[in-house]
Amino acid sequence: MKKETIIPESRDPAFRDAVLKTPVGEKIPTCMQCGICAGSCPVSHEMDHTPRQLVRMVQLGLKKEVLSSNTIWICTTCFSCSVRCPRGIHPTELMETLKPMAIAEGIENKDSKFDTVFSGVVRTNGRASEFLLISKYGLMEPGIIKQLPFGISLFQKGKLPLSTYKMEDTKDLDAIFNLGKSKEKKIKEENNVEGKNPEGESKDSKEETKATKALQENKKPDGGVKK
Amino acid sequence: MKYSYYPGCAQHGTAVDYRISVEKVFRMLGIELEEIKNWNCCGALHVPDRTIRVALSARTLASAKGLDMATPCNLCYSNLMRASTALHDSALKTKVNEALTEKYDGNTKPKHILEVIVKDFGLPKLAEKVKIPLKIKAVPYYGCLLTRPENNFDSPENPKTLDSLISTLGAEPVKYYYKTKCCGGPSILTNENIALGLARDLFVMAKETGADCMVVTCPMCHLMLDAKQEAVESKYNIKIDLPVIYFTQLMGLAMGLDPKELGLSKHFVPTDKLIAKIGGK
Repeated sequence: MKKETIIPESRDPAFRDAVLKTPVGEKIPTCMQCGICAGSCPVSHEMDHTPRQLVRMVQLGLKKEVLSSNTIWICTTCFSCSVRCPRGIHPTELMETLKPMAIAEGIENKDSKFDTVFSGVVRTNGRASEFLLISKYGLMEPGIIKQLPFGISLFQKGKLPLSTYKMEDTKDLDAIFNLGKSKEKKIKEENNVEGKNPEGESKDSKEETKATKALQENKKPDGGVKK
Repeated sequence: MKYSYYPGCAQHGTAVDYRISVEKVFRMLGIELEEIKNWNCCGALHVPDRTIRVALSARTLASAKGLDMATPCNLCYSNLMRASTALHDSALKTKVNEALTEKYDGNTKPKHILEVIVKDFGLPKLAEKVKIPLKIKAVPYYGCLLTRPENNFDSPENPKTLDSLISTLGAEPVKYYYKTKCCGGPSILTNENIALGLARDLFVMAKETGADCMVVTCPMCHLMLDAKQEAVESKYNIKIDLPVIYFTQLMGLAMGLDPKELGLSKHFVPTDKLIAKIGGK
């Protein structure tokens, strides 16, 4: 069996440092590769890198391999690894941290698309109705049409109301969702607002709403590259 | 006893049976659940940005009006718990509060309704309400997010509150090694094959115990284990036929409520045999 070696060129210390600076990053350098995370993970056999490997890859700064790994999306967020890690590293939270980083790098897959749909529905309505989620997601991932009989059986049981479930007043939501904008995204959007006053708050927030709408429709607000 | 109540989105749709049973049972116990006005989704597991996720739960927690906040959903509970901890960071709290009309002050205690029953109301008092001791064997299935990554009432590795509740109702909680293993629910739409495989493992282990039903505390676990049970059967060509019921439905049955009043007819896996064995109406 041929063994892979890591070439220095594939390492990106800036990526490693960026992860270490996040709330979950502090303990990552202390990983001793014991593997209790991989052993506890109910889905590690489906991952192209186990959680243990992924932590090591972060330590090495293997940005491309980490962010394109299916590991961060296969994770079911069950936190078994997080409560067991003897070093207090939280691999589940690490997966969560890596998701927006992967999305910012243009990674798009069925899980990231579902997250986009879900976030969009919550931003607009404040509540998640299964019907709206499934219909919107179905437009992006036509493959889920095979779940249609399941949807119909849920409907027949009265468990899939065909109405939009909404908050009475959604006024806080835009402000909440604007909290999460990464610096890069802001810069990209400011470039998009050419000629308009980027410091004018009201215009800025209008642009943000526009960007979110574009996201909801699965368009990159900046027309950026998709994977 | 009065709580600020955060039902979560699933109670409106896939977990409408849970909602029905929670309302009935809590009324019978005299525990008041005051639904938060204009509550928002917690983001479940699908809002990738941490600050947004924390802010969504902070907004909910800020609306508790001095009461403890009870929720029936494991996802909501874990998000509220995690947000409460994350918001000890005063810089994050300040940032999040800028977005909120009603400010988060850090004084709301999130509680899962299982915790409310077992710890606050108390099992001895619940025992007094039992009219029909259940005499069945039940799998106590906690799922992931009730106890992980953090909770205030039970062990994340070997929780026992649901076991105790099942005993109090006169039933036998079987020894179940997968009581906190993931059911696959979060992958139900995006990676169905993985989800079905995880659920299969739970069912095989549950059947080995000879249990009459599985008892759950989470809308997503219920969707996966009840509504998707047939899909597991056909994919793996096995017979499962194991009713999966919410712990509040089990309580209702023991308290002598009519199964029709508990939303049991909305289940996919028939519960008739279970009800007959219990000897309820």
